[in-house]
Amino acid sequence: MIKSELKKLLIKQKGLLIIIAFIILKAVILFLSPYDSDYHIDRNHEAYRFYIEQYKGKLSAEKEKAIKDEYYAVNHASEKLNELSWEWKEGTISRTEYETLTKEYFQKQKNEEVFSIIFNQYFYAKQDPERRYILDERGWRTLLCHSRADIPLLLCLIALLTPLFCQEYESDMYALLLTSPNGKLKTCISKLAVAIFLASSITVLFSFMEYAFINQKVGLSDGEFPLQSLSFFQNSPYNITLYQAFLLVMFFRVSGSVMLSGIICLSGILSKKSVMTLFAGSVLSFLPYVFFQNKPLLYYLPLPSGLLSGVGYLWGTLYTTSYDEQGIIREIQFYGIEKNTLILLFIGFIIETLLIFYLCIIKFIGHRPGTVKKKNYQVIYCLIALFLSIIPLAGCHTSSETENLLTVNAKQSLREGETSKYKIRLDIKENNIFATDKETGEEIELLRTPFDIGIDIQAIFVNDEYCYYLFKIPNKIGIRINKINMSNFETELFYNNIETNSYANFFTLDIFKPANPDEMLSYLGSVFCFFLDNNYIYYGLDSQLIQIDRRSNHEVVIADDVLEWGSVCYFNGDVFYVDILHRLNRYSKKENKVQAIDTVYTNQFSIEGNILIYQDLLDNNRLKKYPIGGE
Amino acid sequence: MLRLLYFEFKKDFLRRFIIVSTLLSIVINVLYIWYDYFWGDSGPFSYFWSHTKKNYKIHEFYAQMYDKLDGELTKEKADFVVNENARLESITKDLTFSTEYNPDSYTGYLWSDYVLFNKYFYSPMKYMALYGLRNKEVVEKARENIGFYKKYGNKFEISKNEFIVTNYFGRNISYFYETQHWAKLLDYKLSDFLIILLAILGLTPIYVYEKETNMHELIASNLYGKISLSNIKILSSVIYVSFLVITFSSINIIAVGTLYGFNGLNMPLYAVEQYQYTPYSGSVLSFYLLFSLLKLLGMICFTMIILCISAVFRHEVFSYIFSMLAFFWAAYFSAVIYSRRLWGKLSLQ
Repeated sequence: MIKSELKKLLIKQKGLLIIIAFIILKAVILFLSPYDSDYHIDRNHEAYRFYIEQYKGKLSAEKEKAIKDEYYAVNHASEKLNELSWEWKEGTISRTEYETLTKEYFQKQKNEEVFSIIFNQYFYAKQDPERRYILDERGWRTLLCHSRADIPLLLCLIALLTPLFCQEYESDMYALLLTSPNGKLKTCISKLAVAIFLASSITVLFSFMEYAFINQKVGLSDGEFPLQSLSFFQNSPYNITLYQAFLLVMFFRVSGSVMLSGIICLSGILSKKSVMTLFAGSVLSFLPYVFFQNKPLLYYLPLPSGLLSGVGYLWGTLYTTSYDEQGIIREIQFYGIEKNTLILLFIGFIIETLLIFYLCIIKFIGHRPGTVKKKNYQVIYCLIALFLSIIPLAGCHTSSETENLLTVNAKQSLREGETSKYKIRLDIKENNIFATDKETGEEIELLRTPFDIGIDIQAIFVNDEYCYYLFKIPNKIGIRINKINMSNFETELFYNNIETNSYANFFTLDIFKPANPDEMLSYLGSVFCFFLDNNYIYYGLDSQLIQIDRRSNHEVVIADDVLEWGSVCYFNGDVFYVDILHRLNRYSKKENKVQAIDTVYTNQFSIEGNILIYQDLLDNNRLKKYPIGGE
Repeated sequence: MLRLLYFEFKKDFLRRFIIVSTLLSIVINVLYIWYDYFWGDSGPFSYFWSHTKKNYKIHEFYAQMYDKLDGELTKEKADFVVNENARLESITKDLTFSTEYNPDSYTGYLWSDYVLFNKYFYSPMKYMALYGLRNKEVVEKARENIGFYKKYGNKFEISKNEFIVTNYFGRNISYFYETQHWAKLLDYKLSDFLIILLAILGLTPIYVYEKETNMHELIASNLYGKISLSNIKILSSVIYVSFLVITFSSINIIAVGTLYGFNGLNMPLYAVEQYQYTPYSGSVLSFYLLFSLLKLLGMICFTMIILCISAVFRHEVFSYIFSMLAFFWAAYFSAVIYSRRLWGKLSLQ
């Protein structure tokens, strides 16, 4: 009986196609979704992995010593570098020794921010070494620290289970069923068993898909570590491992989906109409997220939404910290759910679910039939077309190239430039750009908007009778570039990566990575270079040199160790810069890679023709030449 | 024709479950507005305080002060606010003030007095009182720009600056009322979600029903069946969504007005600080009506999409799910289009 019901739902009522379509949708969403990370880790993830490999696990005396030693080394790297510099200048050490030793300390200096994250983890673990281990938190945080609606799962269950009962009413089969020997109780129980089986298995499948995608993206190792190893769970009362937490969350989700399947079945039996069942299912599953996302009430409601989210039951109390004139204020952001409360809640949910299924049986046996019928085809093609239409938004790009015979001294062009008619300069103090007519000497203000729009102009670049200016908006992550046509002073938007839409998280669609405080801080810094060619825009911020494809707007960090006050030059498609080791580096656009030129140690250089002229740090700042290109 | 429209509307929308769902949604909407009012904003920079007993003193102070200051902006009121703010600032400036309960203060604590007075009275009044002056500078700058761009033949900038001169000239705020709750109303989104859900509920079965009952073949063979009936269906659907948008918009403004007060509704839109540079010179109320009208147009577009989906599918489950997916996809796309992924690209074209 169950088998035939299952076959009817999956094959005849196209349930299998619905499941496949939603699996594809879930995969696309998982593929596009960001994972939890940290700005500094993203910039230097090799170092983070290196440290994690060394220190992960339970704290021991050796590990503590190693962390403390590294802490000392990292914090004294700058000091040590200065010492080495003096020693080399005084001739105490040779150039080879200097180069070898400085490399090591420069690396430590570069790892300072990442190590501070590791050190924070150590500090957190030290407070309770038995329950707090050091681990790579990113994957587990993504998996266990977000309370959001799984839209594909909810829609899939609603679409799949609605016809289970409604179809019988709408096709007038209900009357026939009642007259058959197994038509009443047995049919109803079989249908409910099918609903429970499908809801549970799809939820388990979707949970494992999440696990697999996150594992693939960022890794989910060390699942045997205690749950409290994640600082997010520091107040959680459960002494379980991360794997157990994942399984427990999956268990909650399965329970939630079973309850949802019961609600859908009951709505179908009571209303006898698909559309009402669909509506009831949608309202009861989506609205709680709209009202109470990330609020404890979501988990107390006698609805499946809390169970379907699942993670909040394990969270423990969460706090936010702010400051006022009386000092630090610690406010409760999320009231943790006590163990006993959870047990009571869960018993309540079980009773509720059983009651729903009992009501389903009672109502199915005791009720009269409804109306109408029909079937459908061609659904899957449209569904796939809809999903595929989302994929181009991921930002794929082609890379057609045009040759640029252009040399730019990025430090100079940052503040001034010239067109055939005007000399242009950026006035940081006035936060405006001025153009001086070469013939008449008349000075023209270029930013003429009458409104105080509160922008912070960072850099200009003048090329081909256009003045491009890069600016930031206070308290927003990202940059925006406008282009002024110097013949008629028309201004237009050239590039933007500042998110401007408040609907980004509209109705539980958590599709964008939230702003990270470190990332926010990085945008407080000044842009240290800005230029563009026919294919790419380049700008430098927070020691990073970023390249933006003008066609696709795809952003790539091509270097993250740029010495901000050192020279940066663009020469025929290649970018030359000085790294924090004071070495000259060349980014080749053709090869798309950065190569350090080990023989050149400098801070300042310029390009004249095919020759790079630099101050040699290893030879008392004497000017030297280095041939580039056109050899 | 009207008779046909009436029957179509009755058949499609005057059904018990749609009426019940609409009423329930209205209740949910009103409860949510009340919930938001009662619990206030969260976070350290929140504007609206919760209406719990804990904040009774604050709300009492706020109400008393607004009773005193609401209405025409006069020199006496401005002087009072400036002097009071200066007094409180001088007390708290050196951080040596008493943090103990002070019965002579407005709220019981000196620091709270200063923060609240500055945030809710001094800053908004300063914004409103100085708006005219700042706006004058904007108009002057636009006038100057017209001359500049004429010299270089930039027609777009000339017309843009002329528009600024015409539309911003003479702007002034001469009344002082609380306006932040109107900003909250203009930013309120839950009712949109409910309208969309109700629209999907009502519209997805429209064509599907005809197919399920095989009536579509009969309709096709009928004299008025094809085009006329289709037009009637579209018209009745438009009436249905118009009813939803108008009802929810009216309820929202009535609920917000009842809870926070109707004062300030006739203030110009630019009196709301978030809208200080709006090109619209009408009142908050007229903007809200215009805003609702725009929402209605958007909903009519969405209605057409749902009707298309309903016409394509033969079963309401698919029609419903595709409509839901269309909504989520549109929400996703609207977020993406203005985000870092696409905006720049579109602007280049």
